[in-house]
Amino acid sequence: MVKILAIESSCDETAAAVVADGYQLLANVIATQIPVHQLYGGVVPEIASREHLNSVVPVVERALQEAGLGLADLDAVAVTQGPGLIGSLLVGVSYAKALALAAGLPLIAVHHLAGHMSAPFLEHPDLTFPYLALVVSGSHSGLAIAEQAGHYRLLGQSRDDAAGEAFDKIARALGLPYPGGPAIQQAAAQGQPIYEFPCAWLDDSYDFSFSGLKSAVLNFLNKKQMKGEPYRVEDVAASAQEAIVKVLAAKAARAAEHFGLDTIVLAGGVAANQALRSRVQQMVPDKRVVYPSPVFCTDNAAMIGAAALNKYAQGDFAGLDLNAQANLPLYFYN
Amino acid sequence: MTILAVDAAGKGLSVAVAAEGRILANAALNVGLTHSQRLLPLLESLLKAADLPLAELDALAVVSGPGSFTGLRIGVATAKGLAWALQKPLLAVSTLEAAAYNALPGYVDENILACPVLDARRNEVYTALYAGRPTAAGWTRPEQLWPPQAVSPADLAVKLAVTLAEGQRAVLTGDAAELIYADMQAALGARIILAPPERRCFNASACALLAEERFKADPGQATLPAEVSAFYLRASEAERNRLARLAAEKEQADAHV
Repeated sequence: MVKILAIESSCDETAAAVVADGYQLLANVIATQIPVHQLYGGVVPEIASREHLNSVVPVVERALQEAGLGLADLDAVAVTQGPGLIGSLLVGVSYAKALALAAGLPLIAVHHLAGHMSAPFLEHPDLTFPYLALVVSGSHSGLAIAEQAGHYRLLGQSRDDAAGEAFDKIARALGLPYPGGPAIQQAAAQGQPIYEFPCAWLDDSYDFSFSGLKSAVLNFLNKKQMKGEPYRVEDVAASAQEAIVKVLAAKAARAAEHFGLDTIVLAGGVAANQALRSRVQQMVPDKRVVYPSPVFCTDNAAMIGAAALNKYAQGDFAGLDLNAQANLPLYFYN
Repeated sequence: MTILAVDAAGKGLSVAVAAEGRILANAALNVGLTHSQRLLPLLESLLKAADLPLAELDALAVVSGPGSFTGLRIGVATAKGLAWALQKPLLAVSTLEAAAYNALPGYVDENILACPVLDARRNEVYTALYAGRPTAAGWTRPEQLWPPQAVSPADLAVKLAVTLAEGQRAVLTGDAAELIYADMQAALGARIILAPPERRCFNASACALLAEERFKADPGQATLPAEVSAFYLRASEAERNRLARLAAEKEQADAHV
């Protein structure tokens, strides 16, 4: 049985997992830095890098303990190569390379978004290619066709803020905590989408744009405060969530129809949003909509291990000169 | 004992193996390529050429800072990974101490102090001042006269002018030495010397020797890989801004009382 140790450190979670054949998850450890970054209202790259360096040894150690395995029992070490914060990525990449050299194991470089798009296999190993993937997180918003394992065709992506970034910024303006996604979802549940915020449709493109929405919400709040008019934070949260979810769901549905794909996979931290999940399913009642449990939506190493299984099967290994890449393109990444 | 040391803290990149106070193998690069891509291939080829299997190492050491934040993390993360996988102890050695140790034996004169300077950006250098003493057994570990600090070259010149006693000179070493040498010489004249290039930016061999000496003097100095951290000297910009803001707010609140 193939067993892969996977390490993920692209943003603010230090994570390690052990994944075996058939997407069996033997261990999944995540050390989150959210409390550290909450002091600053968002992820501070230098602080994130420092935290990764302190956490990487205990996190990997715990993953192997949970799996009941030693390095000698493994078949490969996989690591997120990019995209992400360069300082954070470098900690995981340097550590993974050292483990691979010292333990004599092959090294596998995984694209962070290929990881997100592979996450559903952990709970739905029956999932088959091709499928449409909507990847939405704090730093990415994209639509891609997963043609086969490791082959992704990018249809469109955000031209400015990522969807999760929009949630974070709007949450901050509303006085809600970081990360903004869960906070807005929670507030929205107590409110009504009574305000109409603008949606950027960008014609027929599959690209996204969320910076206009963010500005519109900020302007709205400014005006209300200047005029001394009352408003409910819950209603603003519900309206902003609606504006984001509406565009994401509509473009995913349109792409699935246009390319004749029967399955839509939602991935990334924003895929944990309940409104997004139900909206997509509503728009394409005859298609299969697959989304991971919240723990596999936000950054984790299990998804990196899932993506690495395919690369292992193909013998697609990286050298010890592997470098982290902050902007790693997906389309060319096979 | 055999000890492998890694230095990715500055512009140069080096790896070395020392045993019983001797250097068995040493490799260095200073070609501006990313340390991340070069460190492990360099280490692997050195060990192969030296016919030294990783499994035969007794301990690992790393130049842990100050230095380039990114370089430190590449070096420390790599050393942690090797040490953890091999289940060997890991020793952290100050970049400044290693640089001083590296420079001092070049000068058979007790009146020469070592002043390592590392590029700290923002027109500052990380620095400290060390004295060394030749003994029958060789050079002793450098004695630290100033704590590690970040200062501007102009302030460093003033500090040195005040500190250097009659007849004492300072040898400038480290990856910023060449950059600030002319200015330092203008201020201090013959009291400042520039270390030769091969002693200025490759500190893995000094790190290995210092680590071995420390480990033998007190095996408790060696730590588990999880316990080693980088020594940044400087807080992140976000932390500094936050602390400054909190201090200003406190001052304002106190003023209102």
